[in-house]
Amino acid sequence: MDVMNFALAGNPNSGKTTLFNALTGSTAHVGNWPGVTVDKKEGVYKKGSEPVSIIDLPGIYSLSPYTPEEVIARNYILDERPACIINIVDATNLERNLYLTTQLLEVDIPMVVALNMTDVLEKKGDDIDEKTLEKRLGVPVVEISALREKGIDVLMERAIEAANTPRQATSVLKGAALYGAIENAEIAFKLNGVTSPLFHAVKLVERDELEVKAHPAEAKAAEDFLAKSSHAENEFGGDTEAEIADARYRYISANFSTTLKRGKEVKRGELSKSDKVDKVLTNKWAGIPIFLVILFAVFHVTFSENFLYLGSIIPAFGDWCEGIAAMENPWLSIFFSGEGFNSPGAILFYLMDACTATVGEWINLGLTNAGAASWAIGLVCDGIWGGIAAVLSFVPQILVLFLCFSILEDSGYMARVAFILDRIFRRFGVSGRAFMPMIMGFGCSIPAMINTRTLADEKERTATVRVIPFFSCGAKAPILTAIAGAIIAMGTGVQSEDLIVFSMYLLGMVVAIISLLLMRSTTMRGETPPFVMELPAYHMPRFKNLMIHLWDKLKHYVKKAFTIILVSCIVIWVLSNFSWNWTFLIKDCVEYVELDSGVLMSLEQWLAANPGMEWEGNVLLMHATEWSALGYVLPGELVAANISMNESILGSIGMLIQPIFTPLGFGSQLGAWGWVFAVAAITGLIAKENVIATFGSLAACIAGGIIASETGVEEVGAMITATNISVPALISFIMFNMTTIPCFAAVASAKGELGKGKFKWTLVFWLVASYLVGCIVYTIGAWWWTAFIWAAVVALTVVGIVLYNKKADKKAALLK
Amino acid sequence: MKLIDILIIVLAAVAVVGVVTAAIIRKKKGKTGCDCGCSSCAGCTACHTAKDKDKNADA
Repeated sequence: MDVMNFALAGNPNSGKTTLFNALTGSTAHVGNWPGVTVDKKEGVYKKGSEPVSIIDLPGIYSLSPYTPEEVIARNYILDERPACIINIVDATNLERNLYLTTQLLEVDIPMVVALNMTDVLEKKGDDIDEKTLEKRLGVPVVEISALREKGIDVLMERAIEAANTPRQATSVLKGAALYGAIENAEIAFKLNGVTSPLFHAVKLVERDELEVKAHPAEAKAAEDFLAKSSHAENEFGGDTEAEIADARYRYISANFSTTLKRGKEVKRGELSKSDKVDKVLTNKWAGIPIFLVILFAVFHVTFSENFLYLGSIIPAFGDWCEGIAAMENPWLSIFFSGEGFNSPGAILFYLMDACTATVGEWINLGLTNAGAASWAIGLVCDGIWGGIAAVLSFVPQILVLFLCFSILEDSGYMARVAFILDRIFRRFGVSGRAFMPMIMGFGCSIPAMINTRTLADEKERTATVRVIPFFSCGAKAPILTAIAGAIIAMGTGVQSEDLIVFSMYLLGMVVAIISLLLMRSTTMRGETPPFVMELPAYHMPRFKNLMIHLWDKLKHYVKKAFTIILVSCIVIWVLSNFSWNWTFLIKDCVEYVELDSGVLMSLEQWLAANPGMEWEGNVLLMHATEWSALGYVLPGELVAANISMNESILGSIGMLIQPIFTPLGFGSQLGAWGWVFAVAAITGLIAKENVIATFGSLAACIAGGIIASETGVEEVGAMITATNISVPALISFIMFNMTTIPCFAAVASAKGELGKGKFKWTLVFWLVASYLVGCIVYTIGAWWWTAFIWAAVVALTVVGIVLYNKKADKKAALLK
Repeated sequence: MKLIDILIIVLAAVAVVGVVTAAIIRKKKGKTGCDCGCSSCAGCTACHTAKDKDKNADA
């Protein structure tokens, strides 16, 4: 038995995906902004007497497509011919939504109108006469609330009933001036056996590009017919598309809009609650500062170790927190830092870090008791668990960050940000619409790249795909956090982790804007498309939706940790512990310290001689044989740290590529351990979490024993500090990772979206951009005066662009 | 070499081979998933286009 296909079609943000989820039990992404769905989704409705396949189509305003995702919706309806179309109509915006309905009526496919958001309508005191509307439309109309899952079963019953009854296409254009031309074209289509002849006839008369291309003979006949008539003399000046649109709206206004009974008359100029909020949030001057404050608040809640700056505002509380932190109680330090009370994100992070460290200790103890060899313990505890734990520790913080972004998205605020930023983005050659996929990039670059399908202009789309990775995704957050921690630990005077991370995110956005400006001024020049986006109504984010998002994120993050990252950790450990002739390097190595007096001493001996003290001097690592040669008695088999790791396969590869990163500050100038940054940057190409996993795997070997109490993520921080890397080089490292080639999956996605030709240049763009950004950040950070050199380079670039554009314009004029 | 050491080597090897093989199989099936999570993805079906295309071609 063939399963029936029902297509969900409607305007963007009318609740199609919410209905899809309610019908199929799916958890597809629902967002409070138009254009969330860019591809069709399939699910099965199983509650009826027979299973029905439900297809969720991208939102469309009409069947004349302008963007790739609108083409998907139109093609599905016309080519796949579903058994029934469920047309979702936003009852709070009846007139505009029925415009699409009048077009769907022209396709001879059974149809049911689902009047959605009737609960919102009721709240406003309005009512739609459903029966009258049904009579006038000639198709079943069912009142539903997709969000509250009301009326869903009735809708499906009527849809199944309708699907079993063939429907003749009807048009509301019968009285229109152009109907003669439409009828004429319809006859031609009927004679040629084309399905849905009425629909094709209307589109042909509208001079729809796709239609004219598909049926050139009929198009010519229609043009001849129009030429004979006097339509060009009317107010539309021969624009048939505008004339038909006008006829539709006139019909809707006269026949359908009257079914809406308003509870109270809306006074002219009266503002709704949403309008009042928008007056402030989308204000010309205050809009962007408010957005930056909200964005900072998100980072503050996620990363701050001085929540609400209570420790600074109330000095007594700050002193008290400092006292608590000085106690070095592992459980109290989860809640209190030296400055104040930790933010929710930071508390969860420290809690998770403590848990992963404890699990690590248990694994170590278990393997030691089982009599495992030191290399096996090293592989499991330092290599595998060290890497995975470093990544897992950041999960709570990523979830808090993601939760904040989901709340902003679900509330409808993000759509406003697109509107606010349109003013800025327009100057750089892209519309505010491009901001929506960019903001999605904060979660993951892949859906963000796919979402660029909502951009009609191809050049704008390509430029947007290229800059999406600059919007730091969830996988990059651990790199930022770990390095922000290291910057604080270096005693730079900056104590706010949230401020550092926020600045890094902003820097990524600034790089994106500069790149857009460059692209749109040179190789991707073109008109900035107009930005038309319906601002959705504000509403409270749904708890269920938020939890679905979080659960999904958590599930896949953990899955990734125990698959790709696990494998990467094993490979990194093996490569960093074996030399090219497969000799295990760790077993006979020992660590020692060089005192300021130049005396060498075993770290253990030093710690024994200085009880209660922490080592703060230089730490050098060497082979046990070298140690013996100096006449010291070996204190038994010591774990980990050794300079011989530089002889490992990974070390030698890392040292080979290390010079490439010298201009960026994390290359040859770092000496012995600089290669870890080079290796981390490369492993990050598989998945960005691998950067921190690489640090985690290598941390035990490099930082182990430097400060004996360090565990978990702090060990990563200790390792970074132990490499003697400078702050500008660290920021350069972050910027390089933020702007370079993204993970494999995102690269594949970009290839799919751009096509081979543009993709090659996209790879080059990412490499050049990241290298240049890293280089600029490092040189200016290390030697401030280089800012003048870079300014000169920028000035030359601008001159170059102006000359290039002049030449291109001249060439274009000549060709014309 | 003790049994526990052998067990650790075997498990590590199985993990590496298993994950890599699974990735290759997924790729061959056209499931080039991004691991970002389908339910929170605006265009999750794009990850399955290769498979869909095969299906269409067969039809």
